[in-house]
Amino acid sequence: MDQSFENAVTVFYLNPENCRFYMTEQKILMCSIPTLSFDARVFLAKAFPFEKNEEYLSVLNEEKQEVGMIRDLAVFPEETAELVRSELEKRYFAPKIKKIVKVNERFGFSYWEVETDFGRLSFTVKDIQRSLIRVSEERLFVVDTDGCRYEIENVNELDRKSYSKIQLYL
Amino acid sequence: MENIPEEIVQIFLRKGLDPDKALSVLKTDMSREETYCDATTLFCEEGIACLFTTVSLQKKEGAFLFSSRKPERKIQEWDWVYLPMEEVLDVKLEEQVSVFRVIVETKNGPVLLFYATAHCLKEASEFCETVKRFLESGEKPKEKKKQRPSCPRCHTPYADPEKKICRKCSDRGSLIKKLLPFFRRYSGYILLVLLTVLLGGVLDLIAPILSQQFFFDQVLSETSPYYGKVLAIVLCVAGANFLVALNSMFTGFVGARVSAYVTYDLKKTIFSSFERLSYSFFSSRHTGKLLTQINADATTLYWFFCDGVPYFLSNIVQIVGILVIMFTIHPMLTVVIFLPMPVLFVGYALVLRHFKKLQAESYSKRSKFNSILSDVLGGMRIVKAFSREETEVERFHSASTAFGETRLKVAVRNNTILPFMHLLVQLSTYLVWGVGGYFVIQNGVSPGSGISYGTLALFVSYLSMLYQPLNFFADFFGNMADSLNALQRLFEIYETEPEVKEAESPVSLPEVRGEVEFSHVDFSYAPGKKTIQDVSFHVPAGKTLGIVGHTGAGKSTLANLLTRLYDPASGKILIDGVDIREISLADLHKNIAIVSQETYLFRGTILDNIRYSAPDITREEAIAAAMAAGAHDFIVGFPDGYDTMVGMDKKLLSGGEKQRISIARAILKNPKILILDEATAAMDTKTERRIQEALARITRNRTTITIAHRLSTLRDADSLIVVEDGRVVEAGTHEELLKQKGVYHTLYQLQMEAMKTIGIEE
Repeated sequence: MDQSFENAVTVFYLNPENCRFYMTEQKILMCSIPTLSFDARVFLAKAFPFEKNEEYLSVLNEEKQEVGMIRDLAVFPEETAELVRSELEKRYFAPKIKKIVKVNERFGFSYWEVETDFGRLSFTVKDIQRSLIRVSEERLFVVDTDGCRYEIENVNELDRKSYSKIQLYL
Repeated sequence: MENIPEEIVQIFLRKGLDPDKALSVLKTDMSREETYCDATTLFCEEGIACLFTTVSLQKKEGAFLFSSRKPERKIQEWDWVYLPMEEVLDVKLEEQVSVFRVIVETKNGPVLLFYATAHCLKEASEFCETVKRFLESGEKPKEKKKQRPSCPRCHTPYADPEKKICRKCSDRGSLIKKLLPFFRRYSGYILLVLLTVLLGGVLDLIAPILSQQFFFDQVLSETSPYYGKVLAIVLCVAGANFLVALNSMFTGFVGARVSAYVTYDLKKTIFSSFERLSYSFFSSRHTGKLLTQINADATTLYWFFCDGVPYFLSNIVQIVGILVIMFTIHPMLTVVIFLPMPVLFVGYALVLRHFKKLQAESYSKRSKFNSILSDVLGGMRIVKAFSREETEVERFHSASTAFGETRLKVAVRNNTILPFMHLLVQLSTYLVWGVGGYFVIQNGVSPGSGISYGTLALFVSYLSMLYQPLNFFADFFGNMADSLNALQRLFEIYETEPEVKEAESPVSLPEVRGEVEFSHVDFSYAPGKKTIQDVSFHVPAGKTLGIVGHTGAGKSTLANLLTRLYDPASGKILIDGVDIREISLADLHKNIAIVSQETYLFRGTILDNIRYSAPDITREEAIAAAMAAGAHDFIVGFPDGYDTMVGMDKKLLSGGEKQRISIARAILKNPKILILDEATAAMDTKTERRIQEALARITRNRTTITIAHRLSTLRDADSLIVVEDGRVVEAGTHEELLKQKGVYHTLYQLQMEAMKTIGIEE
């Protein structure tokens, strides 16, 4: 209890001087922080996943307790930044929808077929209104029945046909 | 066993692993780099192997005349991981945002096995459990893994495995079939409505003959035997209209009765379906939405049974009737009315589509407006406390403007497009007047070659009557779609199997002694996250067990499992040595009472609320229970005493007061097993002490399970267990646990210090 209180008041910010990120051969992200005598597996989480992509990144240990925070990834050398970036991309995986081929509503479910940066995908959404996360006027996420997310970076950049298929729900 | 394509089996065989001998097989959908591909993981006694493959389509070579030109599917190996079992220490499933990964802990450190999307989460979590059990105890899976539930007809996996509705096979026809029992239930009413509507339709059909053709061609024609009998015909027409009015009164009367009865009955059906379902159904759904569902769906379904189906039939009869009559009057004129139909239909379809979009937009803006309104009103205390009135007014203003704008758009379009549509509809009438007028003039020139004025007037009357059923059909299909969706939702609830089911032949245990035992109980609310892990403890009848632990450790889940709000994933819970899944639910609930941290008072008096568990008790008993719970004093302090209405104005009672009423409620049930789940958490130390004393008297000779994070509550318990991350980490009496100097000791020390700081010494 006391420890988490302390953490809340003094955030330990990580920088290239006080820590080092590296990847094992087995594709596991590690971090060593000499001042804390810490050298172990770490997990990353964005504190503001919708607004700040590379700032305020929480670095957690295996017990999911924060060991430190990256205020801005830009201060790290490109090689480390790339490592962290790729790990973050894996955690926040969400194919980007480029085109909406079909949205069929049936019995409370809607069946989507979309073109994404990972190719053509189809998924099922339950209760569209509740399954859309509006991040801003333009950007949104569609969450399917299993909890998988698909991103529309800018609804206004969708072609007219795609836009008309989701216009009702916006 | 999952079906593995032959090519993949061959690749595994070449690598020295036989998929047929695998203890478990898992199919997932991503690589180690988190790209989409097929991954097949085998768990064999010798090791864990994961094969990543891609599928390519290859054109067939050679002559194409007699061979299929369909490209051949070729499966290719892309990546491969193999970990011998002697190196494997553990497997972990780590959830990301919409994907997860499986990590194998080996003697050489962690190894990433694969990534996969959340679609495979349940199967992967079962796979990991199987491996873990094998690592811990050498236990092999008894039955091969089940596949994700799929449609038995077309093998498409269900969108929602719990609902078992196949999008390909579940067509509207099968829905109608399911509806038949409902139709039978309301057949009498449907028939009655249908008869009155049909009678009205027939009278409508006859009336123009009297008032138009007969009047103009017989009564006003000098050559007719009925010439000059104006009074008689006026009386006849008035009589017919009187009959129409009488019939419509009767239709209204029957309709009102049917409406009240059917809506009530449908709400009852939906509500009783809710009652049948397990707690998990409600915990995963929004209460407000369920509320709307009962109200809105019942109304929509009422429309379907009482306004939809009967009027559909009567309108069909009417259209056919009118067309037959028109055709009998003048076949050529009847053909003329169909000429503008294509234009009309296209126009209608376009306008309807446009309005549907506008309506949906307006509906969505209204929902947003409503949610902002309820948000602000609900949180008014906070809004005021932080002086955020202006921001909220601004937020309200923008939502209100957006909603207002869409309403305006709908109104403007309504007033501009609809008159034009009306003009389009009148096209047939103009044509009939034109062509019909020509025939009337021709008739005047050479009688018998054309039609009389009366016939033309009659024809036009029927034509105007034709628009009404056509309008009905224009709306009908939209409403029909809504009704079918409402019906689908109803069947969804109707057909959902409750997760907690009563045994087929339950054991009757009207009087239990109260011995409780948890034996290796595992439970999780969501796949992959175990809330309770291998929990075992024993409480002899009449004794008290205290459960200690941090918030979120799984203490309340243990209470939920004992009361069968949920069933354990594995392991057993026994009362008097009988598995609670075998005990009839009525007997189980009769013998267990729970006072939880969430108190709920129903609308009614305080007395009603105390008597909720035992409606037949006397006022003396209610007072005694309230006294025992330390509630009597404050209740008599209210102006209306035990008759004070509660449940509507939540501010009237404090958290502690509500809690004491719910304790009184539980006491009255006189259960053999009493669960106090943070029952005194909302009270100050002094009140808590008083209730503790009262509870000590009540819990004597009753098996009591007390859950608390305030340890002072638990000092008198016969035994204690400490729960951390869903596991029992320590067990013993207060003294024994203090001596162990473990988790309990640390917690106790911390709380003692905190008490001293605020000036309360033990």
